Amino acid sequence: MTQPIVKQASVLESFGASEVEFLSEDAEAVVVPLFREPAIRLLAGTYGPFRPGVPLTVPLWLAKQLKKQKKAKIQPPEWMDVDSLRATYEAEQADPLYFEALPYHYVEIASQLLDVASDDIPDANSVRETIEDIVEVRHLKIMAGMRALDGDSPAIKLNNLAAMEINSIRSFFIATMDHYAMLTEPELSARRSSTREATRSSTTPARASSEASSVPPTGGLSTARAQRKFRPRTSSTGAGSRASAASARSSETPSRFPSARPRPRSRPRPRPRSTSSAATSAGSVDPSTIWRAR
Amino acid sequence: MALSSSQSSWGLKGHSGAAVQNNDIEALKQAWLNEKFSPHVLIFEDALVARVSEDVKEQEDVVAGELDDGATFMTRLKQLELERVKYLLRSYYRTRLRKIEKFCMYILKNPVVRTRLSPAELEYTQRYVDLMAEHLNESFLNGLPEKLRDLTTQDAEDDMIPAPNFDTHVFCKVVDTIGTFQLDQDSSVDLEEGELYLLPFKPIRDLLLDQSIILI
Repeated sequence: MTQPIVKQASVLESFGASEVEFLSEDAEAVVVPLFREPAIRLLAGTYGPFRPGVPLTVPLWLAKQLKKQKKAKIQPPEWMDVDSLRATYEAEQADPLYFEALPYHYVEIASQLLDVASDDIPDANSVRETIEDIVEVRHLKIMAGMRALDGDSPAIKLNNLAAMEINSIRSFFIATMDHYAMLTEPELSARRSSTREATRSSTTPARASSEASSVPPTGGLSTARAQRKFRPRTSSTGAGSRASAASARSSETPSRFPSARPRPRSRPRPRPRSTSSAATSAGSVDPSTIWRAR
Repeated sequence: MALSSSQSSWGLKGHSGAAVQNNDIEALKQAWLNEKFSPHVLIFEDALVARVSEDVKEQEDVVAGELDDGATFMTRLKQLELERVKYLLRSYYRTRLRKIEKFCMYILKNPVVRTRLSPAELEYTQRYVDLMAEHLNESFLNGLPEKLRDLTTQDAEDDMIPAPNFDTHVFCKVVDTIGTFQLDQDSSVDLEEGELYLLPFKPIRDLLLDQSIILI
């Protein structure tokens, strides 16, 4: 009897960089048209009318097209202002367990705007650098969170994590949690494995080929570039923040965060349809707080 | 200080600039993501796909008409959006087909799962299984001893039918506040609107069905 030691973590891969960029292009962008044209009726909605000098909110992909054709300027979002970026960076550094609220696609948006509209962004170089710093300090926190994964709780809260960040940890976190779930509940998982309907996934090799041909129709820009651009630096400037983040972690927080502490007073009210076994409840447990929500 | 979402900085969730908003595209995008990240095949969104396909056809006619009158910049924007929407449609279909191929036997054997497929997908599954069986039989199974030829053995020693792994975890976003939610006998979690979680899939699959959560 050969029971697979490790069940397949997931049949699904993460998104490629071009897919992440495609998804980010539906974010809203504010353009200032340089031309006059009646409203345009698109499938996702009607935009316009376009009047010179009158700001207008459109999807990012549309803004990029207008900008590339020199038919509009792009008004950078407030959070991309150097001062607020620096404030975000400071806050990001100050708290090793909390992620500041940034747009879900902030990495992709910033990288695309800096690519096509750097002349519309005041102090674009500082903006670029500060965003790289933010990406890096957040990356370090994510790495710290990875080390704190202890499988004590089946749930992990990820508030304020961004699309690119989730994408980068997807396979690792899912595989880790899947394995923990199996290890911590040996008799449960053994039972699960023998029930046919729900579980046992004998695996065929993952097919890597079929998705390769499907590249989203973005205008040549690629977030592959963005990813490279925003990869955390290991050079001198990065070292300071790395050290401080690391020391902050070791001094202030135990590496194993007290996550699975029962909260006796909060009365769990199970949804009737959630799980059949939910009726007999023990104390409720906080989600694993490797990062804190505020 | 961090930006709060009440500030009108774009990119954070805010009002849309579109005068007339068609939510179908956004819904299709989410259907694709849910499909992409859920371990098993979800219910086919037939009404949604039909509406979007219809919209695409209409817009293609509009664009064709405008092209006859001489293409303008605005027409090219419409074309570009069409490409994006068609890519979404294709991605949705393709993501489902990959899962369907992987779990084809499991799907055909399971009447409940069968109902989640569109008629075309079901036909495809049947043909795929037939072709695969024929291929395997002709290429080598016929040369093996009788008892090793079966493609659907499921007993104590062997399980030859790949089934989705329901014990996996998924990244999700809470769309509607749910409150305390029981994950298993000894753990529960407070699900508040807008929060992101990595959660075990099995307990939350009903939340996904009624769209209280979405997969990310």
